[in-house]
Amino acid sequence: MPAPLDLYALVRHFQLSPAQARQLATCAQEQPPVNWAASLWRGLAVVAALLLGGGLIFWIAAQWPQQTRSFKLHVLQTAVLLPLLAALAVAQIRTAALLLATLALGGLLAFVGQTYQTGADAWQLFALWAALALPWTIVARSDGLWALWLLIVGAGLSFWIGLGMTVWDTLWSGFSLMSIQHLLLWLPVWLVPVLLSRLGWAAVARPAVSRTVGAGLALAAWTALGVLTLVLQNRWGLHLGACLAVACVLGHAWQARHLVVLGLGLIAANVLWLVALGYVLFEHVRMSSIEGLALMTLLIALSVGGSAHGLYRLQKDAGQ
Amino acid sequence: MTPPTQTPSWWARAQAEGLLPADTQPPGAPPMPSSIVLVLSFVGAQLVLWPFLGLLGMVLGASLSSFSGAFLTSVVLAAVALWLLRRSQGLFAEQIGFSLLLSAQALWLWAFFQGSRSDTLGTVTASLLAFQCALAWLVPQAWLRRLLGVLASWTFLFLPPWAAVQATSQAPIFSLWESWPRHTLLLAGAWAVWAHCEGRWLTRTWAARVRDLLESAAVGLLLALALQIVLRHALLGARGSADDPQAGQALLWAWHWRTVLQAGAVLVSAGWLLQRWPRRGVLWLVYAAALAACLGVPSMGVIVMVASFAAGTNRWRLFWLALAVALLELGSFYYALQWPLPDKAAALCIAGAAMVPVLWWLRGSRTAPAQGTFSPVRTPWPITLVLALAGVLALGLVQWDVQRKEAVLAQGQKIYLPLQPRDPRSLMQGDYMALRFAYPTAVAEALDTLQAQQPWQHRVLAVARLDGRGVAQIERLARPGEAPQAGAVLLPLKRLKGRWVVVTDAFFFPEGQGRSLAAARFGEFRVLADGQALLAGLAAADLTAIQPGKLPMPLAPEAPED
Repeated sequence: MPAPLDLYALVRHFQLSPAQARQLATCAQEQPPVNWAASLWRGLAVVAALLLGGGLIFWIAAQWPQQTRSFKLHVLQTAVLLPLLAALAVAQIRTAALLLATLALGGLLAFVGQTYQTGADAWQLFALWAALALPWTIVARSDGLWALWLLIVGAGLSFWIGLGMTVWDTLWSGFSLMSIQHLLLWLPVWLVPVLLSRLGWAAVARPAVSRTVGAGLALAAWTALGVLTLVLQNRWGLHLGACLAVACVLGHAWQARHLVVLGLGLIAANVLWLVALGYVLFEHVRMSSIEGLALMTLLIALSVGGSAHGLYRLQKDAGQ
Repeated sequence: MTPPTQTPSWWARAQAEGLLPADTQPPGAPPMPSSIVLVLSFVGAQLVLWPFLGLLGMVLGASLSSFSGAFLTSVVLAAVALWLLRRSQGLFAEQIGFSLLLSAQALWLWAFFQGSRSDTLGTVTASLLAFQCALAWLVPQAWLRRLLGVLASWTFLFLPPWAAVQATSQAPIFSLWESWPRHTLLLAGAWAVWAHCEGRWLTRTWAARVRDLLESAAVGLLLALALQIVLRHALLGARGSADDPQAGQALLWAWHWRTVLQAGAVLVSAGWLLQRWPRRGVLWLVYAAALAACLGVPSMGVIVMVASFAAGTNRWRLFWLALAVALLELGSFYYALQWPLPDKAAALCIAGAAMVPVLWWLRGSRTAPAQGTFSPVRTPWPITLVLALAGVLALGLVQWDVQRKEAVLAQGQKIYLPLQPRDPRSLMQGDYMALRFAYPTAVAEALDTLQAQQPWQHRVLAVARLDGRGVAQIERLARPGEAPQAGAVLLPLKRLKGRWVVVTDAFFFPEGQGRSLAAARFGEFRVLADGQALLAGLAAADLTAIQPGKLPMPLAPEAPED
């Protein structure tokens, strides 16, 4: 939705008289949108359909605890099957239908995992979900579907390496198993969407959303791992590894002039180096509170202010 | 580079009427920072501000705990912020200035709560409102004025209820609930008058500032209504007009003067918009529904007024926000309604079904022809093949897995294993109880040795001896190919999260239904002769099954369907 024009600026720009200004406001504000009645009718038809469909779903949900396991299973299987059939039958709604099928598949797997006490871990559920949804994610060639798939993979990886645990569990367990492999695991999450436009027949033309989601997930994981391994374990090697990974993302985003990823990368880089600085100042140098706070404030102002300023300049240069 | 501005649909008409020169385009808007720049500078400003305020607190120390000290600091902070904002051209400095303004407002409130001052809450919030309006008037940046306008609207909305709290000693949230709709209507009315008359004041120098304040106040009003819903659910539970335990459903149909006020707001809005837009039956239908909704949704008149005046003056962002809040209000009402769930679902269906004939009757309202005919595009066969195979694989795999598990439940021997429960929570599988199992020392040592020699090994079988009640005690690890003897079973041990467990390390149950499971002392398993096993439920010390909530537990083989 484009931003509306500022009428005050227009009145000033064209030096309109009060009467002309009033007339301009009449032009700009009092004309109903073209075909508003048709749009409203269609909107109400959608509302009616949603009420009917939602009522049906809620009715099934209300009876859910009383239903047998097989009924529940069949309902959830149908919820996967119907969108898949719709995706097969109507190409125009393929992406939306496969999005629904992917979400419903997650629900089906969660239902099986909760109903039968098998000891499967949460990461296994996400891994299976990602593996089963991968074929239709590839053929759909949809940026949004890839973004959802990356979110599922990211959740699975987080659970596998322990980032998906609660903060309390994280502090309690102390990340004893973290290694450089845990950093490398997130490389594909960043690189897969970067390479999506070069996948031949399965290429996605403009994978902007998935590129942002993939980079965002990888950056968040690297930042969390870098900060936690430094603060909880005093392991500079992993912290530097995380910094290197973030630097790679920054370098690529700079080259590609991908401002959103560049901004996310700058946030990650600032967090990593400022946490390292604070750690050195307060843990190793043992600086007093007032001096330390004053120095930190100054450096944060310089670092983050400089990053924001540079990014804004880049944005203005790019005309975005 | 200034970004090009999209030409609005009314531009040509304004040119035809001679208001704007022919062959001109809308002047370019000043470049707005992208959201990522805004986030970065905001986060950065917070990272600078809070250490700075911590430093200030340390330097000023006890003087901040007196009225004069806190009040003066607030004024000084506001003055510094205004100086910064008036001189600076940089976004980061603006963010710091805004954060300083927030701190000044917080200190303003803090000052009044220090010492033994006897100001009423009404006086305090009235002074804060005046302070916020003054700041909004003085800041040169429009985006800051808008944010301050939102804050001022919230102060205005909270002001009378807070005063009422002091007057009546009622619980604050109850008082908010009682008096909020009145004040929201006042603010919505003021904004509606502004939206109607704005064209007359476009050339006035003060009008742009008032516009920023009032437009953002309308946004603040809608956000406050959304916040009220969240607060109502978070602090009072599902308290609503229709679900008050004492009132039952009576309030849903009872007329109250507040309902009349809200209905009046709907009628005023309907009259205004129907006069401005060509009269169509479909619009009558919307207003009739809104009028009916006033009986159950306490702020429907306010929302309809904002939405109507926003639509009638082409303020579409505000219109969509109003629509979202209306949806939230209706959802909240649906949630709070104390009807049986199937009845509520049926009511939704009936409402949807009732709309169908009305919309069919009003189909003449659609003046525009249908936009093209819908013709399905054929899916290429390789994609069809992949989709079909992927679907068969996903559904087939799940079905095969479920059938295996059902077979274990149907044919497995029922045994019990002593357990030690804990109670953490899982992200997406509802609640679960973490389980721990005890092994004899010899088994634990054998498992440690196995883990050291074969770290890839995640599953082994153990032999467990059964007593007369079916309670199993693990004796030793099973030899390869060993079959269980009479009075014994093979149990699968799995290494999960670094620990060896029997089948699983957790028992999952539906969210919020786990209280009864605190009495669990045994895990109830179904075991096949080859060592396949499933945890079927939990049992108390006397081996009676424990059912979480009202669910039929433990898992039992289902009777074949007819």
